[in-house]
Amino acid sequence: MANNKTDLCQQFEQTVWTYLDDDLSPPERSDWKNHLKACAPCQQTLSQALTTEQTYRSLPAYSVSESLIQTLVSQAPSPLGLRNQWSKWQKHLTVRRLGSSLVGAALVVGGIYVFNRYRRTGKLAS
Amino acid sequence: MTPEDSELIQQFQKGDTAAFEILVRRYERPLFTFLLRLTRDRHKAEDLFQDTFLRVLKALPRYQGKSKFSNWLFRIANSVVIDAGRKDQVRRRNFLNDEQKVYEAESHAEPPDRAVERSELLHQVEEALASLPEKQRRVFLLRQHGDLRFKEIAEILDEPLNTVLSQMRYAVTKLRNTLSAEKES
Repeated sequence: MANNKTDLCQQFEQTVWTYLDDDLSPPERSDWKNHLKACAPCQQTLSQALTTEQTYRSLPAYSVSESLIQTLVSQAPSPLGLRNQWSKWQKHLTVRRLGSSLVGAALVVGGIYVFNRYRRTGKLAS
Repeated sequence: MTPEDSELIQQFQKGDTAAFEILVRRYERPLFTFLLRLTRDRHKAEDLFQDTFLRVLKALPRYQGKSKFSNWLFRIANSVVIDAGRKDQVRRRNFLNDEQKVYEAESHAEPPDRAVERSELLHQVEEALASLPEKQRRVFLLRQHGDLRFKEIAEILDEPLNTVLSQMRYAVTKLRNTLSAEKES
């Protein structure tokens, strides 16, 4: 097993995180897997990455006060308010859709008018 | 059975405000710890926590579930932090003593030796984190508390993946060196 750090090993110090996320392409992952089998420094890099995350995640997390949670929860809109908000949003969407349809229709009608006029007179403007 | 985030969001969108409380309680600790370790100021972190959830509340009726709720939440938190930083430079206050007391009060259920050991480790990690440049600290904390993949972190921070990966690499190396130096001394 290789014990000296190579350029590949230095590259792995960065790639180790995407390796752990399983975000490498299958051929890349398989190349690294094969390299890892034979490389002690990279095995150490992998184990150190895992240990650092595990150590950090074993530490206690902090909490906000109960009163802050209650303040936030009290800010949530009432069911009626939420429904009103939702229907307002739906109305907004309907108005936007209606507006776009009207503009679209006006463009089509205008286009047909200009086209017919051009066919009759051979000119775009009078 | 514990409801999934997506179910809670649907319930909230149908008018069940209790679902929002469950979401707040589910993400309270990871989000607050992320904000506290990032800002190192309890009051500031509480304000940012509140602002984040107020933005969530405002946007939740239109949330369509295109990304995981946790990603969305930490993305919002990150932009709240950036906005706050623009308005008011984050004060570098040493919060270790206050937090140590809070932690010691919370860890009374542990055997004394174990509690002291964990408390020391916590202190060392807080110190080591404090010594990191802000960008490295943010990448590290988003990873640990948001449980995000590096592709997602790169997207949230609007940075190339390789930049984020090298920030993580530097952060972890520095943390490890600080911790092993502490152990030796």
